[in-house]
Amino acid sequence: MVKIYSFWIFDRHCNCIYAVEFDTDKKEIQRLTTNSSYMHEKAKLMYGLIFSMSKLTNTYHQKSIDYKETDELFPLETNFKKISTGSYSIHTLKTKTGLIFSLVTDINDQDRMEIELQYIYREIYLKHVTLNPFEYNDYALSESETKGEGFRHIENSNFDKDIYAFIEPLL
Amino acid sequence: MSLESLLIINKSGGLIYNKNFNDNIEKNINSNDMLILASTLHSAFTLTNCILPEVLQKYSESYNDSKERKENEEELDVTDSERNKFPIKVKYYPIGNKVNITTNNMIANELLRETTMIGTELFYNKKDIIDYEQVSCIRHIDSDVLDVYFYQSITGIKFISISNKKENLGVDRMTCFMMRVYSLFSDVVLKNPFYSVEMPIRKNKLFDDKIQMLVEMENLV
Repeated sequence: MVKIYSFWIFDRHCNCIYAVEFDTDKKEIQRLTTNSSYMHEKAKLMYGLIFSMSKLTNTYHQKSIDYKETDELFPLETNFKKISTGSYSIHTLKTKTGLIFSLVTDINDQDRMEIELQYIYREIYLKHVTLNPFEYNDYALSESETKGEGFRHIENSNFDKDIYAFIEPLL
Repeated sequence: MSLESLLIINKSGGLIYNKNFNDNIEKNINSNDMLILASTLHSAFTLTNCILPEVLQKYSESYNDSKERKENEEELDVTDSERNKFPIKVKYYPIGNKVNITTNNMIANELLRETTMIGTELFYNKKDIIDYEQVSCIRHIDSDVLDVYFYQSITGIKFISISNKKENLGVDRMTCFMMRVYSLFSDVVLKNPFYSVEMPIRKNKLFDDKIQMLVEMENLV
């Protein structure tokens, strides 16, 4: 049985578009809103960690197998799955469209959380965001909102409800 | 053939020792790239401590953070029972196979004698290691093709081993391996009177040989 501490979604412009953190001691939930600077700062650090670690493992692997980047049509990309520290671990799922789903849980060697993340993407995100004509197609509307400068995020109560319903038994 | 590199990083993020077990890495990565890799990994330690979930904030214990400390507080207050502790349990793996070691191999015999590490408080019943100092340390980075394992000593020196996915090694086994590297490091390098602390380890043939032997004995190469 795993314990979930927080859940994050990042889009392909390095913006955090959804974040929720559960405090099991105080029984409160912190969400990413436009004026919560605490979650914004944390989201930036989280994205930075995931990005730099996946970049590092990718370059190291390319050099270790003597790979030349110009050889092939599709560049070699590796998926980055998990960082675990002494007290918590971060699981990530990167989709082909550049979205990053990440789930912060307690340490557990056996659980990969891959199925859970794929379920969130397939059943909840697709249903409420991608197939929803009232949501933005892309959360960065102009050039100035790319590269981590964006401020728009998912504000969809049905999406919230489904995420909570999915995560609540795991808290 | 699963271990590719072994790095040792000092507490300020500088690379002090690296050994590659893969020829392509030796050829493609120059020493400058290796330094960048080491400092990136070092900065990840600080980052993981910054994004610690609110619930776990009370367990936080970082060597990179400057903590507010009262002036008259004692520096070594490790045995304080009131402090929140979050023990990490590691299963003890004995040093690898003894089959390919002949009796006349001096280095191997020395290694077997030196690196058992029994008697320290870490190995308290020869089966489990209880470690309180690894809470804010990254222990494992898992990707499709690489496994990166970390061990941080109590003084902030980090041992990093990068391995590929040919064999599933497990965090516990690699932690035991890196503890042995740590004990070799403190025996062979730090006891050398001509070595200055926090500087790169150069031209230490004994340390090189012992690391190579240890890796062979653990069946990692």
